[in-house]
Amino acid sequence: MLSFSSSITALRANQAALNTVANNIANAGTPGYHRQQVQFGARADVNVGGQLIGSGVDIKGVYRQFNSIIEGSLLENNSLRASVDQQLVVSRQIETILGPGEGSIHTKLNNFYADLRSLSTEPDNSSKRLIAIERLQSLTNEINTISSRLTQVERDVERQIDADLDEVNRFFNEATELNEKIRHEQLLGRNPNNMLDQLHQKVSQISEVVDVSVVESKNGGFGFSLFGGRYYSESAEIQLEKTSQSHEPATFALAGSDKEMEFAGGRLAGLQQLQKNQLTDVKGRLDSFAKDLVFQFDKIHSTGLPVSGEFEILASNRPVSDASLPIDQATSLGPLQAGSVFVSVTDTASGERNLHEMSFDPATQSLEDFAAAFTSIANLGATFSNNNQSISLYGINDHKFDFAGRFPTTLDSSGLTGSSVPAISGDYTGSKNDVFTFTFNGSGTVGVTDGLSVQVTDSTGGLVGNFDIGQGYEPGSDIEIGDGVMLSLQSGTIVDTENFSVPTIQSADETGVLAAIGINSLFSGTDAKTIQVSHEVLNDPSRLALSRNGDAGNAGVIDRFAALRNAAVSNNGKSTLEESVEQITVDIAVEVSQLTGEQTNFELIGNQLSQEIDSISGVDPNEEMVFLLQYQKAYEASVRVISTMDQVLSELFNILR
Amino acid sequence: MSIRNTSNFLSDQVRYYAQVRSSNLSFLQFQASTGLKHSRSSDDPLAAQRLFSLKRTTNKLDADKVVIDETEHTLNLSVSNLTEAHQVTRAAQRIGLDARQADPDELSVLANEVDHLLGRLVSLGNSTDGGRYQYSGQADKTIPFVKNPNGDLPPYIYKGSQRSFEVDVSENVRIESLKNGREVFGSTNRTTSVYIGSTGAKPGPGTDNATDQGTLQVTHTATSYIGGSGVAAGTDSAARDTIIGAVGTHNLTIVDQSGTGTSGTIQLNGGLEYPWNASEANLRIEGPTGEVVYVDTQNITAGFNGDIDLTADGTISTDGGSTVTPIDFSNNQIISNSTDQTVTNVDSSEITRVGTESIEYQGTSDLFSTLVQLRDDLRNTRGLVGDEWDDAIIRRDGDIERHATQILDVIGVQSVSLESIVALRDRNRAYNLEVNQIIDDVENADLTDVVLQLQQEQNLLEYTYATSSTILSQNILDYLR
Repeated sequence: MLSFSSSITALRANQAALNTVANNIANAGTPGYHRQQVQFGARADVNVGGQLIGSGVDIKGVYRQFNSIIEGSLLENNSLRASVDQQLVVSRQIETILGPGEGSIHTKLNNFYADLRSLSTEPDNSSKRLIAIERLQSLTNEINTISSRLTQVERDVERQIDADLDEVNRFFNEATELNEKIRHEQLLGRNPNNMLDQLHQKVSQISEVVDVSVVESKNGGFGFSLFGGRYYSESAEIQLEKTSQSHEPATFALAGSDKEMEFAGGRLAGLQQLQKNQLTDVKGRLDSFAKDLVFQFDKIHSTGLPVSGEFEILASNRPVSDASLPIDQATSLGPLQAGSVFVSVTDTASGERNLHEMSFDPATQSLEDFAAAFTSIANLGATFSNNNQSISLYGINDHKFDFAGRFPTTLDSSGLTGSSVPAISGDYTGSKNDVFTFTFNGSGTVGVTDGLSVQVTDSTGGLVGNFDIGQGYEPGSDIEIGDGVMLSLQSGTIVDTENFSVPTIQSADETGVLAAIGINSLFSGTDAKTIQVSHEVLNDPSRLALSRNGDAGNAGVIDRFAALRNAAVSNNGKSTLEESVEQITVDIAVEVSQLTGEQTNFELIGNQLSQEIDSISGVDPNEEMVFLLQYQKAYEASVRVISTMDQVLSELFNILR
Repeated sequence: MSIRNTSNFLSDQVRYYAQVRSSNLSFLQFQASTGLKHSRSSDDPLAAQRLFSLKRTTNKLDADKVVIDETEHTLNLSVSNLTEAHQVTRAAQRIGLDARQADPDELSVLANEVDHLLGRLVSLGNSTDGGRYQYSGQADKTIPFVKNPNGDLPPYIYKGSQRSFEVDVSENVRIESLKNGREVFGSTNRTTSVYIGSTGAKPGPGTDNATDQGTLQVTHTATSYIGGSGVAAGTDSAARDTIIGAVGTHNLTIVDQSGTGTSGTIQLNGGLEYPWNASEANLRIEGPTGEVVYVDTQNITAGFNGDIDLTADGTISTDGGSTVTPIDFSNNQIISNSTDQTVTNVDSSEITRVGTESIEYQGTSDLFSTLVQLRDDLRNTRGLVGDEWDDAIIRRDGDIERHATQILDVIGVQSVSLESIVALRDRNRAYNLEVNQIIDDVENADLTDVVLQLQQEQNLLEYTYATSSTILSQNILDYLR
């Protein structure tokens, strides 16, 4: 009864096929589901009367429609996209933090410069001073806020890394379980399609966290490849560990190994990139900007004079790490360089002011050396505080001091034998520190003897000018030498070829050490987190040291502040302070823009790959309906065969009746 | 595109494109609602960078404008003040002119008028604007002109800064907005000093540094007579002789009428003959121009007839005798004043008599001092006589004229500054407008374009929905019976 048995196999096979179709339709919307198809195979022939006749149909298997190449590409795309997505989310956060507009760091810096311009018209106006200080405080607060928000983002990224690491390790555990079951089924010769789908779904989830690919293992189940293919495991028994310390860019290794590995994709790779690149870069540049802002402004402010004039005492507000270390190493501000620091000492009783030069090399000399040099000047003293990390400078015996580099009231005229006393006044406006030498031509009486003159040369011997001081010169009156310097000679005699020299000071601190340790500073702090308007200035606007010559209305320091606006003093001398902070925003905007482009690209590729996969593995209900009809008809046909055979046999049995 | 597309894929497509369209619509809605082209810098980083630069420029221009406006206000006020000050100088000059035809009573009235003008001038010199002194230079919170507590000249002492206040009204354009008061009301250019008196002292060729007015006291110390005649200085000679001079400046003519040295006549510089006798130890002899010597004629050589030379030494002083300098009859003696530490160069070669010279250090008085000098000359406090007074009034007129010119010069400079400022303000305004237009182009959305795009996106979304609806509604079941 071969016909019966063949038909019965057909009934079974088509029933199974109908079941598969039903399963496909049922899972049409199940994520990760691959449509299944029943593969029929003809049963072996049987010898009937010397003729080989087919004996029906067998189900060779129910197979998933799966293309490992496209699926692998999608996994890789998933990983890369997840990395970009993660970077984009955080980069957008950074972009928002650094965004332009009212209240932004850019606007506040712009406004502070504008306030300085306004203040330049009336430097001793207390209201304008107050406004400028408040705006400056608003700027420093904004810098602090941005720094704090970036730190918060860093922490969030760190927490996200920990969470992702936990998640991926959990996924690996689940994958391991599935993989074992699959291996077991496969050893039994069964095709665990749904388990395979589950495993691939798990792998897809893993791929969003770390880059992963799977290949069928010769021992059954799947092997896992990680870290851009640099690591392969025959199983999914993989655990990852973070090897870095907290607050450091994350590094990873396989559990039990200390070999640092880098992910090629996935969220962890994106987060790692963020930590190493965007966040580090932005924070570093913001700190760098804050340092430049502090150092450049304080270099100028430290040599200015407040409304009250010279100082009785000045305390440093930037502690050094070690008072005995070279200042270059003990502070974070700079660049510092070897040079001179000029300090003026004023006798408050007589008003006499002397100018002293201290040579200082921050690369080799410490805060202790600075204190020693300062105290070696008559009527000055210094004490250490704050565990020897800070210093206070003070005048003694009714003397005050300052670092404005003004001309001394009494010149060193020890080389002069005549009775005429020279005096230098004015505000030096030259572009660099120099020494002017005044040499007399002719002997005689100032203002009386015809033909007397004084020749002025700079430190290179270059002629500044020749000036008549003979008949026609009014003794005691000012002669404009140039660059804001004035010479006067009291009535008396001068002697031919005798000379005297006067330092002309553009910057009383060539080294930058005053700004580095925070003497008479506008700011306190050294980076974006700590920058603040100095306590003294904040509490007393008259402490803004805006004068260079001691006149309360002098705007010498403001002019220098204003000149900073156009000076490339930030970003290693490549940008202005404003450009520097703007460039941070622009660069992160470029980054976001690029990441957005990449995201769109990965999205399109992912869509294409999904389409490819869908075209192979996706369930099309219409198609399944066709299959349903096909198997239904086959089933009906087999039933008809059995029915026909039954009729045939009935006819046959009727013969026997 | 694969030939096998599942309904899943089709619905995914619908979702994806609907999201794309909705996202675009959302952005267009943002543009239409805010008028801005970009919601964040990353929408167009290049535009963001450009905007930073442009906004920095407008911020600078706005800051410049504040400075320009303030400086313009300050300069306008100063020009107004100085114009009034100039009118005061003209009024003072008119008074000087009137004074030359006025009688003594009128002179007193005119002097009082000058006093009134002086008050107006001081008020202008000390004028303020918003608590800032206009003529104190960089010490704008310090009153510039303070009354001299000693009551001497100068009547007002300048306490302001020696430096004028300058401000950068724009890049590389620096303007003096608050003048140092000395440059406005201070002395002009020193010229040769004027000596009023009869001592014969003259200004030396050296340059003085004393200012305003002063006195030169010429005092006699000793007269000595060339030997041979027997005449000697009288007992009051040192104290009361009024002649000063080296050998050859003055002479005595002695005639021994007795032939025995007991009596005769004596004359000084060819003046009146005075009888003498051998008992006179202190004979007063007056010369033709009133010069006086006291001689001792007790030991005149018998039979002496003739001229004898004499030298009359003296000292000069500019500080009332605190510091005296022996006269060396040179063309330039430097006389120090211990009170104000100044020096005066005196040509003493022609000093012939004791006395007091009134010195006017021309061109060294500030405007206040000049007005005080005019007032005092109107009251003739120096006791000038005849032409001396007329000349002094003429000199005051000249002094005031120089100050008026100086003020006009300052007005001129400040007016030029104002012109520059007005030009700068106009340029600033035009440039700011231009930059703001560029900002507008870069920052603001083209609303027409936005509306058109909005319509286009809306259409596309509708098409997406329409086509999706059509495609997804196709089902084989509809055809299976």
